[in-house]
Amino acid sequence: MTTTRITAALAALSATAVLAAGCGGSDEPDTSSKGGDGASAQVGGTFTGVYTSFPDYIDPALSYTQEGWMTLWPAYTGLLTYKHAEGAEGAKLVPGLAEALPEISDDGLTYKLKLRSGLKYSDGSPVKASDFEHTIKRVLNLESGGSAFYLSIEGAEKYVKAGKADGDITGITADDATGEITIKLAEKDGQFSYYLAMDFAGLVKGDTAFDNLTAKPPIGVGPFVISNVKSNRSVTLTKNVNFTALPEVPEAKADSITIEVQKNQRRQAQDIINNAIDFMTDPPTPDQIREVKTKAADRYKEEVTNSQYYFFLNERVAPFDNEKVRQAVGFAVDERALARIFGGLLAPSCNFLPPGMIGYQKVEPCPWGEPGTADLEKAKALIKEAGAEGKSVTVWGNDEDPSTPVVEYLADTLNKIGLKAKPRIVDGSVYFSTIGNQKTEAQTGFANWFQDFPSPANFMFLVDGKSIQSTNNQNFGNVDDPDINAKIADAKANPDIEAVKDEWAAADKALIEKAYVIPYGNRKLTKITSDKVAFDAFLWHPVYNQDLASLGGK
Amino acid sequence: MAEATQLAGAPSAGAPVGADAPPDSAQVGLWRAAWRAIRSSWAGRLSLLALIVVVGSSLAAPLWANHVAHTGPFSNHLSDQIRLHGQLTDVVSFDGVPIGPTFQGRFFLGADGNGRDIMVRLLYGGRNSLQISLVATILTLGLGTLLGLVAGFFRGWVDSVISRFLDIVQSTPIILLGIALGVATALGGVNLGIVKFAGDSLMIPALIIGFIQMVYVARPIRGIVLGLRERPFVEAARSQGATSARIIRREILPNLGTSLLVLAPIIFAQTVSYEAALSFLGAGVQAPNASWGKIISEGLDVLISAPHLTVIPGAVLAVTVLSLNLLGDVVREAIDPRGTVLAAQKDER
Amino acid sequence: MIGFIIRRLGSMVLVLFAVSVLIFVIFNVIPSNDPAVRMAGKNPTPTQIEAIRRDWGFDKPVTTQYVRMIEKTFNGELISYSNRQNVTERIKEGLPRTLSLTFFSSLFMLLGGILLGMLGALKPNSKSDRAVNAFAVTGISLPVFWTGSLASYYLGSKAGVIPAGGYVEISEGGVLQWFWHLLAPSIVISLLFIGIYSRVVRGDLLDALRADYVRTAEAKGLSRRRVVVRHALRNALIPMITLWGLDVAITLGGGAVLTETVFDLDGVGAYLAESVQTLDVPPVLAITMFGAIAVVVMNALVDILYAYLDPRIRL
Repeated sequence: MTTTRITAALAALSATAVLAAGCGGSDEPDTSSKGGDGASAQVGGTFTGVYTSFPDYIDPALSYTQEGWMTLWPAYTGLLTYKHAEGAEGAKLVPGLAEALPEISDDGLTYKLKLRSGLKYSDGSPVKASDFEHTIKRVLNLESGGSAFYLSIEGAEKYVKAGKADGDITGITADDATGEITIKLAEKDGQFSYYLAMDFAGLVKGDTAFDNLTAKPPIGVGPFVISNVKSNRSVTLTKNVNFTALPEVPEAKADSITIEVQKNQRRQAQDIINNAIDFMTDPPTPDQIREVKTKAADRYKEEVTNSQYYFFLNERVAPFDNEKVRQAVGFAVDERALARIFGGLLAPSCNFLPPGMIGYQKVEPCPWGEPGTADLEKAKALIKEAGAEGKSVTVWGNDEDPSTPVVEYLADTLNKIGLKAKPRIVDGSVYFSTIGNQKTEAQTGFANWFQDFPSPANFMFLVDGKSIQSTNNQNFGNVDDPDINAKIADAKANPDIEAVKDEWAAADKALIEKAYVIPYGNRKLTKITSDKVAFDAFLWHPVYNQDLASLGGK
Repeated sequence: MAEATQLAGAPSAGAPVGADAPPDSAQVGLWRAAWRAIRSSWAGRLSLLALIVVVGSSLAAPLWANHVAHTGPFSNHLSDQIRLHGQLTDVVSFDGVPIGPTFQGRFFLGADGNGRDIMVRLLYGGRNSLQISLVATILTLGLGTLLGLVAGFFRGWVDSVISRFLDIVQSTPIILLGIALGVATALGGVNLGIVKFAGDSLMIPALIIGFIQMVYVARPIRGIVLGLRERPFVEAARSQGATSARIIRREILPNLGTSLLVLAPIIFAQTVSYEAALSFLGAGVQAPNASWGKIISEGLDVLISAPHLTVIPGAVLAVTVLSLNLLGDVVREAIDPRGTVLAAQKDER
Repeated sequence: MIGFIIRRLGSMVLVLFAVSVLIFVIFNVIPSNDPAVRMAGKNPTPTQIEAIRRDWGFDKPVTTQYVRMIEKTFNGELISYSNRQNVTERIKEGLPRTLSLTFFSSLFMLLGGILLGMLGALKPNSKSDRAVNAFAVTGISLPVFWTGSLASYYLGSKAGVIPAGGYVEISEGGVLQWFWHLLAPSIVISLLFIGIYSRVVRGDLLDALRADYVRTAEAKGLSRRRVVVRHALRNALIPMITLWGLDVAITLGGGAVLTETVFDLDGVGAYLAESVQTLDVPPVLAITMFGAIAVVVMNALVDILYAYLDPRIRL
């Protein structure tokens, strides 16, 4: 269906479109802001944006969608956060409400942080170190989708199992007088610092109720306050008067931003062209992208996100247990064709890690031909060699855009190279649990991943032999290669991501060379604003997409 | 048969036409009357012609695919180019806009977002739509007659149970019921014991639609049977010791001909539009199969740049339903001018 | 009268029970449809899933789960699985929209059906009768989602003659804007029903005009208009009112799924469509029950209206 479905709308790419991500010019301090298009924005003003669908929750403990995170980030700062910058710079972990990055013990189990002094919530009350424990308790007690990240804290499992809100998480100790916070982990997790920067851990007041507070969001610390929520209709952020800039968290430019739900994507594009709205969160439909690009050329930009679209190939089920058959798929898939299904908003790729990620090293040459080429003859020959001709294959997909057309394409392609493929489309809400159930024995199909946090670990667990489960499996292809497993285990244990980036790259390369998965591209999204917005100063953030704190007038 | 006819006696003056006519002659007479009405009316001829064209072209889908378009309904041509007015043109542009109607053999009506030939898909889609609707209609008429007959004939608690059941189906929005059943069965398929259908089988939407629509047949049939069983010929048969089964077979069923003939085209029309609505919402035919409703829903995404994807299948759908309704009208006027068989109510919005 | 109320209540309870069981069963047999897993996020751990099962009662026997859900439906504590919103609140949010749509569409279909039906019946087989019939058949035959979408885009977005969709509250835009945004969707829905009703009214009116009492009235020298309106029409309307009552109730109960979706009205029907798509049982169950209640209540009202139209009927 068209309108109700969460349309991860397809859009188009012209020959002139920007291909590279994160090349925005906002890092350099800009002085030429006087007459308009400069990189800095005026302070003040009110702005209106649109969502296609209302965020799942307006509560940091619960929200687990892109729209939600984008909305909540400027209102709920965590102990750690990300730099307000574009590209690789924006993926850097920086201290937020904490004075510095955590001090990690040698065994990697103890994280020590210190809260900055003099911090105030948006209602003027002081921020206390013990509020951190309350924040994490809310995530766990509400059984948020984010609780998995905090279950490695000592005592967290026990807290959840007890099911009592006022219980204790033994691994978290805080001293309100000194502001010291110590977190003890039950098991080592090199990625834990990232979890502290997620919206789930954005600090809320110690007396915040253990409820979904979407209707009246909790009180937090940040450039904005979520001042008004009309459930399912709109969210208003107003400048937090009790907030002064922190070293890594700027004050808000705008006085207030209202984001409304406009389900009709055609209306969105019309409105942005006519300057009736100031920004939109989803790209225009392929239908209108040409019009938007011509009529709003100077306020339109395509950005590659840290995401991956790929086909999984189930190593445990014939015919994909045969490497030759997997290679054949690699040769047969034409990324250029797939990009058209995405309306051009897909950057073809041969890697599993997205290009914006630390640890990305382009696999060159791509063993299956450069992205955007297909070699059906070679693929056919490989299938013949493997003796897999005429083997039945079910290609799994869901009913959300663009999964169905992608899967129809793959099934047709597999038929062209000598397999006997048939698409199988299931409802989007049960798709991943269906293919993630070993009983389904899903042979191949559609999969995609948008990052939770900017670390290769957040992608590579999808192909880690250790993450294979009998149900709710995320390693859909049951990739289980000792060499890759070892590399992943080693790299993810190290909190210093820079130090292990070559290891990640090696794991990525091994994955591609053995054709364990067939990645085909990274999703591109669009930044479009009204004339009134200082376009370059409105940052495109690698984690949050639009950085609302930077939105301001020319 | 003859015995029953004699016992039936002469129809009373006020009785609905058809319902009381002697069964054997009624059967032949009905069809002949219907056919004569269709032939002699302008609307009848036109809609019959339209239906023949739609059905015929759907049946000819493989011919068109193999000999004119040279491509199948599932063949993607995403990165292909075709020669159009002497120059090479992308079937689907870079930015995902499909080619419009070429009015040549290949891509006669243009392509869809996957670079598939719309004409071929439309023909195959029509096949699916019609096939599903036909099965569903037969099922609806069969089930509906059975329920209506049993309820109307045996009355009492049997009637209460069946009528309440019909109430229940009727007080649920049928679109919702269709979607819910569609979603549930698309995942697990349907296992009826004797037959088993996979989740993507065309028979699943047919079963669902047939089941849901039977209300619209069962109600009028029940009413008519209630009336019939009070008629003198039924009384007479009963007084002569005929069993219920015999009475149903000999006296009641033959007299339902009018009603079924009047209901059939209307139910068929309703089924076609209901199938389209379900497929439009994603709960009907499953990928990669097409049907009119599904092609429309895919087309709406690119309504601005490729309006033909929405307009053409919609028009074919509308013409088909319209023709069936018109045909139903003509037939009804001929054999049931008083409208005894209440126009089955439609609930698709 | 008391017997009537008791009968109605009895059938309402029965319908509600059956409908709720039906919906509950359908959603429970969907494979891999474990709400606990979906609530647990992108990468759920067993601890999380277990805790959700415990706190939301998914570990209880199905019958207990059913009973609890029904209880919550009626005391307004039902919570959606997909975004933990209170279902009753959300239905209340959508209700003014659906009510407004129902109001105009039912008005249009009632008036349109009666007027066109009369037009046809008063001069049977005339030109106007045939025109009415053609209009009716076309109305019945056009797929709502198709006409709606085309109207919304071509007349709305492109030509700007009508609003392309959306709902404007009276308090926001005034009565005129409110009406203006509901006009197109109401017409789209009512086209279908005007088609049905006009034919029903035409048939019944023709019958009534042939009936003895009308002839008697005419013989008594009453004016034709008076005869038609006071005597014939009054009787001819009864079957149509039955249909109308049911249709109004279904539209009110979220039955206008397609129209609400196509015109972005975001009422009860759209909420229903959204919930079915996310396999969110609580709202689906609650809305279906709400719809079923609307049907039963409306049917009762229609019966009362009958008694008014036809004094021979006693409740």
